[in-house]
Amino acid sequence: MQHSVSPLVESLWRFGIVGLIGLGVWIVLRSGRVMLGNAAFAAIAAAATAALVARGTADIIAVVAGVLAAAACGALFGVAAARATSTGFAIASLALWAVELSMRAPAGAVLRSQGSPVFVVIAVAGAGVAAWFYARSRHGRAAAAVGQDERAAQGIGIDPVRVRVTAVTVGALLAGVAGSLSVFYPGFDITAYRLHGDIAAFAAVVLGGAGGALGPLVGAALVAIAAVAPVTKEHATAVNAVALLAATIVLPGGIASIFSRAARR
Amino acid sequence: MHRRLGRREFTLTQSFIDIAFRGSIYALFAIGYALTYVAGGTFNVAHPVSAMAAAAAVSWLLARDQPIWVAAGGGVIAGAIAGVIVDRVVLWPARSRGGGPLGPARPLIAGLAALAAFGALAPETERPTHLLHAGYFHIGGFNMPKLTIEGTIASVVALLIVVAIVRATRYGLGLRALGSNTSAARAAGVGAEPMHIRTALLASMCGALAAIALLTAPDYFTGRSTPFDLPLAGLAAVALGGLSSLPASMIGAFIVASAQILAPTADASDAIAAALLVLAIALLPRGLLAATRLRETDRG
Repeated sequence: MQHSVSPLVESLWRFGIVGLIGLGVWIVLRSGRVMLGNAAFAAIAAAATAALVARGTADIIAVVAGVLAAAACGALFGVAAARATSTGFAIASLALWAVELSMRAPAGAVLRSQGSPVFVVIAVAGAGVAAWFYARSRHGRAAAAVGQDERAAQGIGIDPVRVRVTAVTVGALLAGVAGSLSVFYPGFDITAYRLHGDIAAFAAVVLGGAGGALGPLVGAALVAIAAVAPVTKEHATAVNAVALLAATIVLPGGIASIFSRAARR
Repeated sequence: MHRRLGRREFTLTQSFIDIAFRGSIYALFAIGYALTYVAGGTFNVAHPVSAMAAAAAVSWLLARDQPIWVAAGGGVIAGAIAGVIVDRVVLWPARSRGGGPLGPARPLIAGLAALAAFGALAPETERPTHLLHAGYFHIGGFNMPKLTIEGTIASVVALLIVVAIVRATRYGLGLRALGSNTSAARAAGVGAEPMHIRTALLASMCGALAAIALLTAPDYFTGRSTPFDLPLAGLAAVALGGLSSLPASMIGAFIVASAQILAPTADASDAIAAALLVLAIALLPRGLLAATRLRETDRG
C-alpha cells in the first residue's frame, strides 16, 4: 500500500468497515441463512459513491446514494433468494462474488481518499447499538424464530419470506454504509472487497460470537488489530481464514461464549 | 451461420464444439458439488480447492519439463489429496459438531474459510500455451488445438465413468442409500464416514480433472475468464439442474455453457453464470429435474 497512516487510524477504519459488514452478515445469519457475499453490497456502495464523488457531487449526497444503491440491490437479492432452502440461499449468495470481482473504482476517486475514521467508527457504534435493540425488537425476535424453526414460526403467524427479505436488505444497507464511507479511507481499494471483505466479516462474526450483536463488533476489533501487521492483502486474508476455520470448529460460540460460560459459573 | 463472439467469427459448428468443451468441463466440476451433497447433505463450498491444487500441480510439473500426461496425472492426484484433506480436516469436524449459534451453517462457513485460505496462498497457474499450439485438428472449417479436443474427450469419458460408478457399483448403491435415507442406510450397515471419504476422493478427482481440462482451453476463451469462472459456472449448473441429481447437474452445465458461448458478448461469462444462478434459485428452487434427485432431505 502507498498510503501512510498511523496504525491506530488504520485499525479504526478496518474496525468500522469489517464491523458494519459483519453486523450485516450476523443479521442474515440470525434469520437462518448464510450470506456468503455481503461484501458485494459494500463494493456496490463504494463504486457508486466513488463515481459520484469523482463527478463533484457533495460527499454526503454521494454517501447516501451509495447506501441506498446497496440496500436496493440487497432487497432485490432478498426477494430472489428468500424462498430458497438454506443451501440454495448460500449458493445464490456466492453469485455475489461475481459482482465483487467485476468492481472497478472510477478514476479520480482515490484523490479524495483522505478522510478521518471518526464517521465510520460512529456508524459502526450506532449500528451495534441499533442491532442490540433490533435483537430485542418484535422483528428481531421474529427473525430469530424463523432462524430456529421456520415451520413453528409460520405457525404463530410470522412470514419467513418477509423476515428474510428485510434481514438481507438491512444487512446490505449496513454493508453499504461501510462501502460508502470506505471511499474516504486513505487506503481505499475497491478490489479489497473481493472475497477478502467476506472473509474478514465472517471472521469477525464467528470469532466474536454469533450469539449476540456485540459479538461481530468484538470480532471486528480483533480483525482490525491483526490487520495492522505489515503483510499483503492475500496473507491477511489467509490469517483471517485460518482464524475463522479454527473458531468455526473449536469455538463456534466465539469469544462471547467464553465470557457467558464464565459468568454462569 | 456465422456470429460474432468477442473479436472472432464463430460458425455454428465451432459453437457446438465449444459448448461440448465447456459443458463437459462444467458438468465434471458440478457433479463434484452434487456428489458431496448427496453423501453428506451439506454443500461443499471448498470444492474449488481440489481444482486449484490440481492446476497448481500441473503448472509446477510442466515447468519442470514433464510431459502433459504425467502433469495431468500428477494434477489429479494432487487435487484428490487436497479434496480428502479438506473433507477430513475441515468438513468432518464441522459436520460432526452440530448446535451452537452457527448451527447447520458450520460446514458452509468452514468450507468458505478453507477456500479462502487456499485461494490466498495458492500459486499462480500457467496455461500450457506451447502445447496448445503444438498441433491442431481441422474440424468444420476451423482449427481446434489437439490438446483441447483431448481435454474434452477426457472430460466426457470421466463423466461417463462417474455415472457408471454411481449407478452400477456397491459404492454407488451405498451413496444412493445415504442420499435417500441416512438413518436407514446406517442401520443397513452403510458406513457414513468411509462413504464421505470415498465421495470426497471421487468428487475432488472430478474437480481436478475439470480444472486441468480448462487449462487446455483455446486462446479465445482466455482473457475473459477469472479464477472464479469454473466454480461460478459449476454453481450455476447445480442450481439450474438441482444439487442432488447428477444428470440434472450435467444438463445444467450444458445450459450454462450454451448461454455463455451463444451470448452476444464474450466478456460476460461470469455475469451470465451469476444471473443464471440467481434466476434458478428464485424460479426453480428445486432444480429442473427434481424427480431425479438422489437426496430427499433438502427441504431446510
